[in-house]
Amino acid sequence: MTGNILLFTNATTTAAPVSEKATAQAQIVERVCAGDKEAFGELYKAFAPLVHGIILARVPYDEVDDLAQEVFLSAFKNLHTLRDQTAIGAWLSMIARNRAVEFYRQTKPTEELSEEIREKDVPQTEAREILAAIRSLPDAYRETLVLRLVEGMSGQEIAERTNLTPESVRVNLHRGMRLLRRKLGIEE
Amino acid sequence: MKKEDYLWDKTGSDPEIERLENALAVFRYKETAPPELPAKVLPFTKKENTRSFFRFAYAAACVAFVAIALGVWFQISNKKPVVAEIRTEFAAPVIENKIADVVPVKDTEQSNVAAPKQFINRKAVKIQKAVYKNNLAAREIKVKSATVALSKEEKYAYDQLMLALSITSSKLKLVSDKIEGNTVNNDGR
Repeated sequence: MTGNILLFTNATTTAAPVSEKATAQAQIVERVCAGDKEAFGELYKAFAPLVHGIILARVPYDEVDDLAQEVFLSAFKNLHTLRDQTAIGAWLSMIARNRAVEFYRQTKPTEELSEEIREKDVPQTEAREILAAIRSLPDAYRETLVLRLVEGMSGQEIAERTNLTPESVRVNLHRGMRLLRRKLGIEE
Repeated sequence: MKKEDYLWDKTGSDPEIERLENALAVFRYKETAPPELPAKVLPFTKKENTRSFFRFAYAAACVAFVAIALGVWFQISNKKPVVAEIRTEFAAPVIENKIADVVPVKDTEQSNVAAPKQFINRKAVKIQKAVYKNNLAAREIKVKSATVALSKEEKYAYDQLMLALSITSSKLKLVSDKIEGNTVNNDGR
């Protein structure tokens, strides 16, 4: 258990070297800072799945889209505070995580949905169970697994967008998958 | 080995992971339009401006701190001679008042004439005895004379000075005791 926690902290702190993609993203960020709305659209398209995945790993499915939009608006307002423009992915991830934490701080009155509405809006039971199992994993594992299994990104893509090293992502994927199999009672 | 490849870059196949992917596909991000931005988007100010502002503010704060520190230091250093003056002014009236309280001087022509030395010595001895016998009375006299002669600030300065002197004298006594003790030890050896 202790080993897992240590690995988690190491994995999240190691940043990947700046790639060509990162420099292209930095150029988009510069254009957004200059007031280019189209560039903001490009930025949204490139990072929306990442933000969606990170939020989905933490909050109920119904809230994810709204929160993702809020994350991008907040990012747009504070984009001038971003020092390293090549680290836009890591920065957006951080905003998304903070927004998810903030979501749970707000006290909202909740009401049980009727069976009809539930069946209509909420995805199947098996999918919900798998997602719940992923959410019960440590942060680093659940984020990587959601990005891989839900958002369909490859390990390399996850590394590029989150500014983590490919090695860290690979380790998180395999350890997370092992834990998930155990949780779901799947034999390796 | 195939399982690892599929999990990392989707090469090969892993039926278990594929099953999970298919089940979880319902949660996948569906392309939506980006959030609406404000109608008028102004270019952001450069970071260098804010940084230089903070640098300037930091420098100004340092200068202000040094100026205040110097001012306080000068004030403290200027106060020291004032304390010394108070002491010299204060010393005389205390004795005078003591004598005046114990020995009332008659308001006659004889009061202008200097009293004989023997008479003064006797009276002085009497005063000393009275002071040493009754400590409370002595304190009252001292307080009375101090309040008459000095203001609050002056009194405070005087007290501080006396305290400093008493500490110094006690330290000196300690030193002298030590030296004497050492000499005794040396002599003993």
